[in-house]
Amino acid sequence: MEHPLLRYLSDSEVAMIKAIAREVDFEAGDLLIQTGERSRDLVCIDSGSVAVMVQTPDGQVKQVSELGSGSLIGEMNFVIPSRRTADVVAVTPTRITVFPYLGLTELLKGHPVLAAKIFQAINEALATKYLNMLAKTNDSGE
Amino acid sequence: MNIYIRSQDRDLCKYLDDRALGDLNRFVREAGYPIGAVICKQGERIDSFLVVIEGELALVSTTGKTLGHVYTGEMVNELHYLKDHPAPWEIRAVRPTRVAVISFTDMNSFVDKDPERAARIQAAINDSLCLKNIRLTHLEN
Repeated sequence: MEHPLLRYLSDSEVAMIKAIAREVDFEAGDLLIQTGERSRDLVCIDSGSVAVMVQTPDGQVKQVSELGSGSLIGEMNFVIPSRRTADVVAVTPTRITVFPYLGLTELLKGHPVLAAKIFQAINEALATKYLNMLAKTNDSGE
Repeated sequence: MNIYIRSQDRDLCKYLDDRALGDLNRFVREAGYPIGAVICKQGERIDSFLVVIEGELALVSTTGKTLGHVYTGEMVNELHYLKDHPAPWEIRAVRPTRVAVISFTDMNSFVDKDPERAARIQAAINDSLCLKNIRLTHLEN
């Protein structure tokens, strides 16, 4: 099954976008993403699971979530430039697909149909993240 | 967004050229609300984008907690264009407020004519959802 980022793409569009991507394998305990990195690459988790870790103001490292197959990482940073805001560490053997920022944006500029579909999939990931965060905020206020 | 340049004031149409904006404006109706007016209740089904032309809206939970604000030029309800999800908040006018209303059905008619328009509208929604996520994170902190 294709990753949700690619859910609206035809077979030929999947082939087109995968031509600029690279797959990377990690062992449990490997660091995939480090806080402070400037990368704007989009990362899809194809298999395995990762922990998202942040440093608290008192210097402790806290796990804020665990993401599995089908998750998307870096969608906020892809849209609005900033540094990576968390460490991402493999919990199990993990395979990811990385869509490099420059390659992806160049591709999307020339292919509006593809761009609309990818942006829609990113929007759905952003909307889900927002609704989850909203539910937590509501819970914390009650 | 990273592949388009802003060319319009209002966020929803920020990446459209003048011609596309003219076409979209044919679908727009305007509505005005006095201070304190409730524009949408929590749990309602949403079928239109709202773009603030003038004034300010607040997004308020049932417990009275303010979850966000929508300022002049910004949009709300883009979440529901993507997901059939009941309104997670009440929308209230903080000040006398005028909004542009564009139904999701009309937006689909607009973008279905041209994939470039679809990409540019989705890109504008990318930006808006990122902004809402960032603002909510700051609210949580």
